[in-house]
Amino acid sequence: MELDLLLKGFGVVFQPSCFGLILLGTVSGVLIGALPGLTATMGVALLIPFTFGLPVHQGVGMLLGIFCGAIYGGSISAILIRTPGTPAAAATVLDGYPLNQKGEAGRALSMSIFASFVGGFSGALIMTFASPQISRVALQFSAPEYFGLAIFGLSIIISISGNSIVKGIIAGFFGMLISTIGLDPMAGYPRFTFGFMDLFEGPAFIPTLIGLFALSEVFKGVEVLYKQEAVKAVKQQLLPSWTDIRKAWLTIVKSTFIGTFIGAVPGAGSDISAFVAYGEAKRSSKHPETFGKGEITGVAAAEAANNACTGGAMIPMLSLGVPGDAVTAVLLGALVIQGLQPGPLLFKDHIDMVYSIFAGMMTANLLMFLVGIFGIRFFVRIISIERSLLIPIIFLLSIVGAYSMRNSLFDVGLAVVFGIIGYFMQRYDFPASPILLSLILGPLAESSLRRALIVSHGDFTILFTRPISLALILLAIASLITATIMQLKLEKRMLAENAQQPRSGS
Amino acid sequence: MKKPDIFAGILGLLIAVYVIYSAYHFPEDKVLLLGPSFFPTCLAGGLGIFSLLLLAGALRGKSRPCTDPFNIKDPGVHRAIISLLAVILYCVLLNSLGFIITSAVYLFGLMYLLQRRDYLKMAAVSVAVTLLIYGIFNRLLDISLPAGFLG
Repeated sequence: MELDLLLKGFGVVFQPSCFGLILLGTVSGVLIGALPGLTATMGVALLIPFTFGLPVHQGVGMLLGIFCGAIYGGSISAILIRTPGTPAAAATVLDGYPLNQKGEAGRALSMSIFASFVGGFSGALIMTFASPQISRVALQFSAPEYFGLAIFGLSIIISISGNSIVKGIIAGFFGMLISTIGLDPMAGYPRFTFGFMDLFEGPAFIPTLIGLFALSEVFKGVEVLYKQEAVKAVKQQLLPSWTDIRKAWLTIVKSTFIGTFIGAVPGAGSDISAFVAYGEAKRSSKHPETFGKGEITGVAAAEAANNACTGGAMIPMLSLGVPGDAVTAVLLGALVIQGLQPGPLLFKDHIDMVYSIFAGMMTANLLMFLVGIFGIRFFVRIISIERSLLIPIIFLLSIVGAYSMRNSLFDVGLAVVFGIIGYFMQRYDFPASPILLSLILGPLAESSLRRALIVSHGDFTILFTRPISLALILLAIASLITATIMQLKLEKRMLAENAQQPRSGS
Repeated sequence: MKKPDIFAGILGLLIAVYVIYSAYHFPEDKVLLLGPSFFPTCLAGGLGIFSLLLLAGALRGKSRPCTDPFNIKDPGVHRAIISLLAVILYCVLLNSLGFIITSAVYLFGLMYLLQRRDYLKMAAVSVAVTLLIYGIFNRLLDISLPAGFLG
């Protein structure tokens, strides 16, 4: 790590305008995370247009703030109203809500912000150390290695397919087919453009995302008018007690490493990392029976891991140009809009920018800690906002966001089409995240495969004779097999649970 | 969840067939060896196989029961469909009527669908939110939203 570069990065980040925007991003992030129905992915996608006019480091800093804040914010509603504000906080519900029922919401919330900060900040530190090293290795990568990397990332689709592998894979293939729309990356031949000039560059990324992740939620929200659980009065506590910290610190450290590692695996995101860390905390606990009934280390494990995951997910995004999870996939899109192409060359050409991203990430986590501690009273109140106000606002931001990318009404139509597709997919249990992942990894897989085969004159063995690409392909196969086995087990268990408790209304 | 799975399976198959058929007519690439049709054809093959799996599972009655069946008589489904159709209308009118009018009307409708009935407050909120977002984008971010006949 180049210390002077990092210091320079902090110099940029601590300029009042940049610092203010990171703070603004963090506050909006926590808010977005805390509001059920607004995820981190949606938040970043919806707020990207607000960063268009800003200088690069300010815009990116604000988005990093949203990212870190939202992952923490999800835990607030998980603990208080049993609804994870973001998927990343799903594991936090398991022990956070029982603690709330025992009247210990303040204790759970303070542990959540503490663990989130330790996890998030350490994840950012690991990112600062690891990314330059990885980018150095990646400079040697050529087409076969990138193909291996894309395939490895795509193999993760199985683990994020929700409750049906077949549907997850269908969504993945569908997403990759969408990514082939537009001019063919090698020969420039227009594919599946249906005569629309606007589709020559492929369906614009941000409008597609906004459709799939934000507009679809609007339709869903109109359909299901669910009543939110009322928030009980919270006895406030700024920091966890010394006893709680002593009890949980080992779990927090372990979960931080688990979270960062899983984040760094292309494709796997903070929801998975939280569950894995929670499982590990339960497995290694002397009293596993207390988990699920209000165990404070359960909250610590989930929150340390999902926030550590943010730093982890940035590692492959910055150093390889392959996003670690759904949110970094959107961030990648935002960086490209700002004229920065993540990947090993970013470290060569824009090293100052890279280090201000590192500094920005650490600052965002620090601000998240302060905002979390001192703003909790405000956030507790805000999660009770009526959905009949929230949904129209999401709608309007979606439309404006889709439009403002290219000042194009075509893109608004595109977002609406994907919103409708997303709504029906969600309705019938087709997961949307595989589409997002394949939109980014599909073109990478195609162009690197074709480039590799030009080099080898059509000989496919080039993919298996170079050590790194072989290792990545083997990893992909291993991950496919283990993920399939795990998923099938999960599906079986869910089927059994369904049979046990026949339909409970809705 | 039998019917939707059958429907989705058939739709997937149709898309696969369409892609393979049109990719067949893409030009071959003698220099690059793998032409523009190679990747889409592989993907469509994969989509086809898994759509068949989904279809076969559904026909053998192995589909998982849907947690939330799509019932055309359900008022919730009506609301979703109305909001969906209205968005299409919104897109059509956006250019001629302009952002402010179309959005304010749509927001009002959306709140009505969400079961609000305090009309005055609804009108005030829809106009205020629309103007606020219009203002932020037009003035602060320099992104001009369609002004319609007002502009």
